[in-house]
Amino acid sequence: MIDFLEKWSFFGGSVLLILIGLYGVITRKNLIKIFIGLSLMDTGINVLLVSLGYVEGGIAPIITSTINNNSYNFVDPIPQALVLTSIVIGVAVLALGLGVIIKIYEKYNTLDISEIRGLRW
Amino acid sequence: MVNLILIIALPLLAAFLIPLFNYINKKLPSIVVFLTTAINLLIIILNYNQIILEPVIIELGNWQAPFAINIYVGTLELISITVISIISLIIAFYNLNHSNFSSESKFHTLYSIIIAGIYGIVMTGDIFNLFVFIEITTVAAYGLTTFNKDKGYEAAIKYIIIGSISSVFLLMAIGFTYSAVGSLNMAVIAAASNLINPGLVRIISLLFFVGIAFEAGILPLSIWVPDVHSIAPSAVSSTLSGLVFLAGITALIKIFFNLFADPSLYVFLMIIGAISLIIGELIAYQQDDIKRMLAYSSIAQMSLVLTIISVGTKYAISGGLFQLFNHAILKTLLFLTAGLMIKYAGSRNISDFGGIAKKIPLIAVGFSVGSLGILGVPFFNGFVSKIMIVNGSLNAGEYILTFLVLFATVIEMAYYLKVIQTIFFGKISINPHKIVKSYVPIIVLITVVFLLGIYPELITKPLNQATGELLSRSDYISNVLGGM
Amino acid sequence: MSLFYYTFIPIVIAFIAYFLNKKIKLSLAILNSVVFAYLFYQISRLYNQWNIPHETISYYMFDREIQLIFQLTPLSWLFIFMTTGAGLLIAIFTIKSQQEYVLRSSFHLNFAILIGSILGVVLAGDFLTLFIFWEIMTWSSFFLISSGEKKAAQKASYRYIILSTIGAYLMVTALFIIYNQIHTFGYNQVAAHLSGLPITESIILIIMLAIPFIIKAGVFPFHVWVNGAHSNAPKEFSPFLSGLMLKVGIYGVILLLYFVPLYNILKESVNYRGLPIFNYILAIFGCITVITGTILAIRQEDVKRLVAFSSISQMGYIIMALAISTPLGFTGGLLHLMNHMIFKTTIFLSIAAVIYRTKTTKMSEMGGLIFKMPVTFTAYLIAIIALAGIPPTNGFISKWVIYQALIDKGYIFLSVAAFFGSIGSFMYVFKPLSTIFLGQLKPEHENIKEVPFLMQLPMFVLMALILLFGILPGLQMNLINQISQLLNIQPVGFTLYSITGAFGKWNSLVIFSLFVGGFLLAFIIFISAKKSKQVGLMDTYTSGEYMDDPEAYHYAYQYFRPFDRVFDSFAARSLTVIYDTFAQNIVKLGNLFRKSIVTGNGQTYAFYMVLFIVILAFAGWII
Repeated sequence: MIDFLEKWSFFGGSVLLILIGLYGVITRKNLIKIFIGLSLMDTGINVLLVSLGYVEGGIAPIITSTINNNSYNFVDPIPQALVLTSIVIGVAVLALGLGVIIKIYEKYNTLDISEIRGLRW
Repeated sequence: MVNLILIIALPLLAAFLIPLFNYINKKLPSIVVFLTTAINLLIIILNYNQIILEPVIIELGNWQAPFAINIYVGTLELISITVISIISLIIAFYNLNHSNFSSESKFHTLYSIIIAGIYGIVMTGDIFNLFVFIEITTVAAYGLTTFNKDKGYEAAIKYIIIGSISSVFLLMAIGFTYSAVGSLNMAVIAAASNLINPGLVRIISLLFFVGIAFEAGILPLSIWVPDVHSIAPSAVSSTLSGLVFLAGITALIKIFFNLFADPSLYVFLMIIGAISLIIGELIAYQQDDIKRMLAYSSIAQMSLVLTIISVGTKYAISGGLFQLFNHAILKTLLFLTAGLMIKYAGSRNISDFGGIAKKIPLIAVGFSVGSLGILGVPFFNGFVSKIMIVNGSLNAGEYILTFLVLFATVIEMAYYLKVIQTIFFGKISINPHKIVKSYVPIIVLITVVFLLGIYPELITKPLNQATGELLSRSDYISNVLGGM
Repeated sequence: MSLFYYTFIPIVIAFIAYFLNKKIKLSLAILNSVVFAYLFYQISRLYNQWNIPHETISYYMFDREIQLIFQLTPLSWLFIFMTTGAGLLIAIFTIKSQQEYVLRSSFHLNFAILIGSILGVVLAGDFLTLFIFWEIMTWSSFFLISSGEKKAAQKASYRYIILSTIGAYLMVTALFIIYNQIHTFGYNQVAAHLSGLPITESIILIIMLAIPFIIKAGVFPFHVWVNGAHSNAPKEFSPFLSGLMLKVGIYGVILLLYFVPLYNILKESVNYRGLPIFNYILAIFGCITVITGTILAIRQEDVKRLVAFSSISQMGYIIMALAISTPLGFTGGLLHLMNHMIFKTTIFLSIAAVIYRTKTTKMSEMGGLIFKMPVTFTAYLIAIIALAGIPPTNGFISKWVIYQALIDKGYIFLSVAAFFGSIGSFMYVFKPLSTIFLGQLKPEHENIKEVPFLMQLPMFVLMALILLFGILPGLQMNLINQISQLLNIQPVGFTLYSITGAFGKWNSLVIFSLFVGGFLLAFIIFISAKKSKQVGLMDTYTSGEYMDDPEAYHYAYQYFRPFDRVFDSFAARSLTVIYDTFAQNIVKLGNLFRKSIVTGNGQTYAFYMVLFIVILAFAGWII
């Protein structure tokens, strides 16, 4: 059981995080809460990516003074690089989204997404 | 041979220099964008003859293929970037006179970024890089959407929500692919795709589809399209509809033909495309807002392209691709002219355009040339592609698909002709507003439409070559990986 | 001159002239007349040069060069001759008649393109060329109909283009099904391929190929576009629409049945009363067309609508005659085709002249124009005599041949329908005659003058043709027999002024002299008789009731009411309603999608996304 958890907790946890975020996005009416959901999804996917590159018992892929010759002990560095990019993009989108939300609030005086339906049909 | 990476790098560079130029002269940003797009076209023309002979692969940082991010320009990519460069040049020219926004330099910055992103999506040979370029394009598009102060924010927020969710799925697909293959290079993935667990391949391909199709105009993922396209300035609408969709479909083609060539998936694409096609056309018929109508028409056209390409035979693919490029040209023309008509009439409603052709004849003619092209009148470029689509689907024995495609065209005809009749033969009922009439882009686009209609071999010959390349994955793999 | 240029000269000139038109008013109409005159001259010189080699233009499509073939046969010569002739007359007519018409330049542009495309359709030597020019023809005529001055023109042209396009798509589907097997569009190769297929398959393909032509010809289940298009088109285009556009549909039917000879394939299928079932159904449809067109024409209050329905019924005759596919039927069909073109163009032109002066198409708003517009009246009179099929006009001869053909084969029902249509045509052509030209002059038309000479000229020419072909049908028969020889049909015996029918000879010279004698006699009686008394137009007996709507009491209003009453229930059961309901249901479906899918709520859109993935995943993509 512990074994199983150890192996799948990162994976399962991150997928769970994504699903929670998705649930938030499609059930909450408040735009801020929707963006919290989106942010949760982003975090979840980042965790997922890192966990995919995880190597059992590996250490961070950083060259330190005590160089470990067993290079397979490093965790895969590429997903981490990807995650960095993805975090940056996520933050940019989040910032833009929040900025737009501020504008929307100024214009519509509400944050309820179901009331912002000027464009339809 | 000029390095092709420049055509991505130049617009990006321009984008970040534009705020500086703006300090020097308010007029400079638009000129800079125009120059970069012109240089891009020049670079592509210089390289054209070489790429048509054999695909060009550029490895960044001088690393070998599987390790480095690479840029792959085969025939399909070549045609795509040629069309993109021509259209972006035309739109940049249009912007020289028409960007009367208060924050002009921001507009041009975002426009440059979006162009760079589109080139990137088309040319990249690395799936994570694909993700990055998609994000660059969409983030810039979010920004451009908000330029309309009226309803732009509303459209933008919907776009952002849907875009973020799909980017999560896309990233998930990339993560799974990486964990299964251990590389992000498309050729490596393609080579290894037979070795991966087929169940996993199907999950990954579904995630990829959802992640990219939202940018390619397939309902229900692209349900944001009408909002954004109708709200954005017409230069942006035409870019989004003509070029971003083109890039999106090209990316989808790469995923489903180069990466995971699983013919059992094509039937899903075909059904999705067909349903989306019919629904898109039916809804487009209902619209009174001309840009919304054009946006739904774009959805329908993209679905048509997807559904035809997923037939998977040589004729069908080349017909679908031709339609894709035609659509890019025609929708640019349509959105630009529709934007001018909207400004002139001061209204977005088709019923307010009565008799507009008598006041601004060339613009009205441009609009009708665009519509007739999409409807496939002989000697317009749409005719050849439509014939090729019919031939391709019949050749593959897809009779129901042929019927649906032609049925959709009849509906399409119904709503485009409504507009044409109103603008040409309707009662004059407009109070004209002053507009800057820029005829050059319209005339150039009309010329291109007729050129491709009368000499389709200009594009069909390379297209046949591109189709051949798409259908031979092993060539693609060996091209990129060399002898590995 | 290369055949190819016949199609492209008008198109190219039209575009050049269109841009010139801004500078010089009317330059387009004059230029068009000159161009058509030149083409007419060139085409008349082509007569008898049937062995001009085929010409090809290569067009790169798919992955190969496709040859677009142009060829000249007696059949196509007949049509290009008629097309340019009618085009020339109408172009001359428009020089004067369109001075106040706003969409003049677009009219001429589209008209020249239309002429060029019809020449292309007729000269085409393979199905792809035919299809390409067919499409251009449809589109340019669509724009011409749309440019009508009435509001309903847009709806009418809309119906026309949608119906035509459905037909064209059926044709293109059939063509490409065939193309994928044999990789060519040539007439002979397609026919050879079709005869090798199983009979049901080839019949389905033939029907798919034939439907666009039948739609264009305005035959029964597809006649719904005809009356709207004819009555709402610009008054100068209606003559061409009725005189030639409908005939191009007939050309397609002849092409399929005889030239390509798909008739030989059809003969293998189920035969009914000595006819292949396809032909029999076509003949029945033609017969229904005659009856429907006649009954509906009699009801009309609008003169252009009336003549439009009359066109429908006349097309029924031609289709009937061609469908029974005897030598006599074929000859009759072709004769009637030419003659109908001549007299229907005359009728529409004279009506256009009346509209030009009175600015109305309602018959109850006109009257007594006989002395004001004598030339127009004479043209109309002669043309309706021809339409009703009275000797010594050309209309009689062709109808006579058609009757002979029908009776000869013993198709009683068809013959009865043909007679019914003929008698009905007396009724409906008499209505405009008596209400527009006879009767009393309306006060507001006191100052009307005859139309200018340039508008009279085409009418004179056509009148002369009606009489000429009425007396000397041999002129037409000469060409028709050449066509018959080409199509392997037994020629019908003829001399310059007589035709040999199934039950004897028709000698038009004798009949003509008899009629001239009778006419002179009647004229003498008319001159010597007492003059009629003039009564005020609105001097209607109303039993002391207040007349709030004098129009309703005009004698032209509901002229044949007792007759109409018999067919009221028939006329109410309109096919148009069925088509419209179908279209409306599609529109409703679209509205349902729009309202239920595109709700405008961003969250719903996100939900669609999740739903989409789940459905796809469980529909078989993953599981």
